[in-house]
Amino acid sequence: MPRWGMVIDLDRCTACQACVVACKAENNIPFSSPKEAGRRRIISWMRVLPMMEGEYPNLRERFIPRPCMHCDNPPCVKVCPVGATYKNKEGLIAQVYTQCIGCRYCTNNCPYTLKYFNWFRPEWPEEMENYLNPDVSIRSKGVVEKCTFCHHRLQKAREKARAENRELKEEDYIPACVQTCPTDAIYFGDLDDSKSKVAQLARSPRAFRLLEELGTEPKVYYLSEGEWHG
Amino acid sequence: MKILRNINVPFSRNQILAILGGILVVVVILIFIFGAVWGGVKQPISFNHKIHAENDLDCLDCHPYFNEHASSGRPSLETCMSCHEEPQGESLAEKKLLEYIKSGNEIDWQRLYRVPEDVYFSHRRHVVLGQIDCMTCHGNIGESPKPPSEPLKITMKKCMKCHEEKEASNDCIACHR
Amino acid sequence: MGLKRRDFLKIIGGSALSFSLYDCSTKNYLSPIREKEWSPKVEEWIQSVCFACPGGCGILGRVVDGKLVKIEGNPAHPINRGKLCPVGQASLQVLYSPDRIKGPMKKIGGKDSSKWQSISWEEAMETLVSKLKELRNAGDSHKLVLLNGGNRGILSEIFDRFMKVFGSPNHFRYDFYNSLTQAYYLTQGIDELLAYDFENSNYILSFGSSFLTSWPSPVQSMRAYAFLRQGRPGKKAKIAQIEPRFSIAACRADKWIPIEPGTEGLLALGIAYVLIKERLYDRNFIEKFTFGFEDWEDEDGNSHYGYKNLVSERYRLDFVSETTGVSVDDIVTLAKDFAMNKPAIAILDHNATNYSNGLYNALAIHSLNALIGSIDVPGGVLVQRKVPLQELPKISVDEATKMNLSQPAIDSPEEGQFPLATSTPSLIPENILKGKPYPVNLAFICKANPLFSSPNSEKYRKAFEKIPFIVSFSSFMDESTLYADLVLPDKTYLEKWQYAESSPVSKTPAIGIGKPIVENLFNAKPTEDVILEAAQRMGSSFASHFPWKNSKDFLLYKIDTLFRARKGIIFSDPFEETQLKLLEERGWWVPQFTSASEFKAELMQKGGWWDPAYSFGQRSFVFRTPSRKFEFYSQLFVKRIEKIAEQIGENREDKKDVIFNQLNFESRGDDFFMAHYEKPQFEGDKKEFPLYLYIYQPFSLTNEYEANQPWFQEIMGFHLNMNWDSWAEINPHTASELGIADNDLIWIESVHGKVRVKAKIYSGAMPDVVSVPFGLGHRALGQWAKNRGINPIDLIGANFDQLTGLAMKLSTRVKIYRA
Repeated sequence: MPRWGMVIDLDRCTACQACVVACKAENNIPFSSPKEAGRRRIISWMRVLPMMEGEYPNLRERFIPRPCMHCDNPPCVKVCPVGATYKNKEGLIAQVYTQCIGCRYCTNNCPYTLKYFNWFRPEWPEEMENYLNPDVSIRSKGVVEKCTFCHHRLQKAREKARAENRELKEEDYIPACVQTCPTDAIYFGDLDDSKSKVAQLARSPRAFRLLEELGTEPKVYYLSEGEWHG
Repeated sequence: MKILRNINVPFSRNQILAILGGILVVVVILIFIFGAVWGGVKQPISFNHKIHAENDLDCLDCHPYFNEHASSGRPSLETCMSCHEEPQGESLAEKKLLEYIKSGNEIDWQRLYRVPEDVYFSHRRHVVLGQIDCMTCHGNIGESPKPPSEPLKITMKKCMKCHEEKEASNDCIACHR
Repeated sequence: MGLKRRDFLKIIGGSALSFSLYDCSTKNYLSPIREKEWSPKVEEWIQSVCFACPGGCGILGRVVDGKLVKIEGNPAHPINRGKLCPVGQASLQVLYSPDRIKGPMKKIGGKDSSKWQSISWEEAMETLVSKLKELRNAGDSHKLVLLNGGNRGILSEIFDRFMKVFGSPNHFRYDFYNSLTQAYYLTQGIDELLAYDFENSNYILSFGSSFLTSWPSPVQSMRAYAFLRQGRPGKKAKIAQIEPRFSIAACRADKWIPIEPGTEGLLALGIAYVLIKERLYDRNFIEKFTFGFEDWEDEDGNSHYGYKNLVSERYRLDFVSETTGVSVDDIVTLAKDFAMNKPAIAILDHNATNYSNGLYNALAIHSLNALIGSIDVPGGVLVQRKVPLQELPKISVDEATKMNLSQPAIDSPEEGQFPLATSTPSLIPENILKGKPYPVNLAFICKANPLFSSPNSEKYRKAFEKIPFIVSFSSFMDESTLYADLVLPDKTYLEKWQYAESSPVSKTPAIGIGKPIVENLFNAKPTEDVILEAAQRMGSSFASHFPWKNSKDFLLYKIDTLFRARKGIIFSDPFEETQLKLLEERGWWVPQFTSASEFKAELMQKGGWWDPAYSFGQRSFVFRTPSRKFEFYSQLFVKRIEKIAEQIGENREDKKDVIFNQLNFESRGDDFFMAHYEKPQFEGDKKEFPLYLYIYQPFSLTNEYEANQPWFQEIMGFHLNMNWDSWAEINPHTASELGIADNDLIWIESVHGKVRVKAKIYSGAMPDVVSVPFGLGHRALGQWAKNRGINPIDLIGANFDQLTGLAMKLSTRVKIYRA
């Protein structure tokens, strides 16, 4: 059984946000209006967090692309009263929209603030409905959503591998952000497969995880040179 | 009692009766409306599956995609025309088909089976990989002389039971997307 | 029972209401958008090329039942290798924008009206052709003007040919990089952007260059960046970014050097000073491949000043440090790092040239590359060989057309004005208003929107009002198209046949073939096909110059020569490509195909062709100057000035003075033709307007449509948590001195006007610089762009580079105060 995880190399990332746009396009994420954005209700499963240190002119800025951390010890799952969010056998933190009652306990309990509540009804002008991805459902107002590691791609990749009568290969299942990243800064794969690129990179001396001290055991690793205070 | 009497009841007895009566009427009307709406799916042509099956047509001849795609596909006018260019019989349904062929308009086949929109259902996965017979979900549709107006009832419970038997995944996100 | 009809209706109404509420809430509970009609969900991937910027990346469109639902990079394309930037990803929101013009329209009710009427393509074509014929029959074909912002590929070629056959010299392209390419022309004789071999470099000295954002080929440069940082174990390249703003490139560099705007060239000269004093320059390269380094004598025995002495006498570090604001230590460190981490490159883009001394900045920066011998070597500055596409057949037109074609163009400067300009579009509106040298009767606008992006937009507006008939080939109702009389909506690049050559900043030539990914969307037509059809309708001799049925036909004609090129390879797997590269670099080439038709079929199927090999040491190709060397002292510059002087027509020495007198530069001797420092001129008195206005382009606002894409409105100001609005970046100390807090509304005022905008306190702003993003503040374009944010161009005047005639967008001083 694989344990899906991601490694993001901050030394390669240039904060171009191709991952952010690719995610929005792949996952039918509704866009906001100035009004909703003003209330901080933009939904963006992948978000680049700027972190500025120092004072002019001795500055250091880090850009941290953040998808759902898919924690091995997920705080959001513990508080869901209806089992709408849970950890599956492959370590993915699932969000079942039909089950979600919109209580937002999970959004409040996520220390990374990476769960998003649908405050407004998702709407697209008629022409733009054409670009919606038929593989991903559209969430209604009132439910919580988040990065799924593009698990609909896993569903299809599994089906394809079975049809071709072979095992699932690492390159069969790639989330949209990983696929587009111009600098190859994002890696994805099975953390339990010691030969996989992600497992190797996760053991690198440059590797760290966000808010590790909370014991959430996130499956998204970051790589960065120099000292880091997450 | 005194207190109760002092409470300003908004409705008189007559009005309460009127409300109850009204609700009754509404319920009747709603049943009527539902009946009309859920009277089922009406196909533009009264398609006879039985006669086609008897003439040695395979499911795949009209539903071309189920081996390769998520969806099974419906027959296009061209598919019909490959046999019905010349009339094959005298049925009313065929006369209707000939009109379609004459006008060149695609037949607006109505969809019978629908899965909820957050469910990923793939025919290929079930038919080719799972080796499940069409009849498991669609019953003996091949023997029906008239198009069914209602799908057979398939609930999530039924899906899950079958998944359990076949040792397929019952993880929510294996189907819900 | 007293059931009244009225009560009954009330109750019925109430329950019906609750019924309908229930109904829509269940219906919409899960999916607000229901499948409208059944579709088989048949998926296919269609190959094409991205035209959202000049990079020319290969793309794959994921099409489900004829609808494009996702764009990915094409792994076979050598420029992007399966990767794609946010701009390419977001093209879905251009293709399916509800604001696209959905069919041809004509204006009704005269010039000032904003009423449009939909017309048929037949009527539109007839109007277009009758206007063209009218002009040509009157012998006034030169009075047709084409403002062309889309500078590449099939469309540009067809337009160019059309204008020539029609007989008009007035085809104008808006070129961003004019001052930069002029610097390359003067030193190397190449009038085009040069390529930087990032992947093999060890040190990048970037003078304000936005090589990680609005670069001509951003995916390629970002890939190179990642490779330099983490792709070569044990060999991490260093990067220094010199810029008045802490940009993305500055964030990702090892060192950010804030610098006073406009003094970038002076810092380069300071670095040259260190290199010369410390003898760190490449003596071998200088001796063999450069001209004008040491003092020299010409044929007539006159002695001339060399670059070496010019730099070492004038640019002492205390002066450089004081003027640029960069410490002497930093200058020395930069110089030593640059010279000791070879191969190294000094790079720049339009940011460092947007000042009155822009050309000299570019000359000073590019001269550094020659100083350390980083030209035509791995990891240095290279020159791309072009894709060997088929030339178009020769044009033979009648005498009248030839006459009109040789008329002066309407952007012609005054005598001696803008001596280095090849074209000066900035003069167009003024000349149209003056009717100089002749009035304009008909104008075509294509992918150009000067009413938004030009600093003399007000003049453009008046000029547009004066032109009797304007045709716009635009996909959107932008500011300029509003002034059109006839609108012929263009298709987007995702719906066209086309080819995209790699940008000249890529060292290898590549061409990607674009197929329409989506068809039958809106009643628009590819402008390429519209022009070809117009040519057919212009009469048989005109039409004979356009033997192509449509743009696909034209494309097939262009790629016809690739088969016989005896080099390069159709996109294939990296192994074969490496194999070919190795062979070619040893002078071999193995044909893969026996017949041209087989080759073409494979080319169309694989989506493109490229030549992975680069030939070093072809001196006459790299240095096309009179000396066949890199010229510190530009003889081409001397020739240009002499040529213009001859036109003035007095004796030689005085004539040069006439030109010098027109130019507001301090130098007029040998140094005029070399890299040196000229004080940048800014508009606005320093006392009244104490701050510099620094206009920059975020990645998410680099092309004309992005402001109307909601995805970009959400992400463009991510570093300051800004979205859906403009902002101004202000240094914390400056802000507290002026009593401005974060998110306050402020006025930014220059001599030309003022705009109200949100203040963002940003440690990455220099104390005397206010930075404002360009791209917002539209007055048209679409529902998400219109009246959103401010356009900083409103703050700057119509000031042009004295040598090249290019607008100087960074030469304005401003003051700020709370609104």
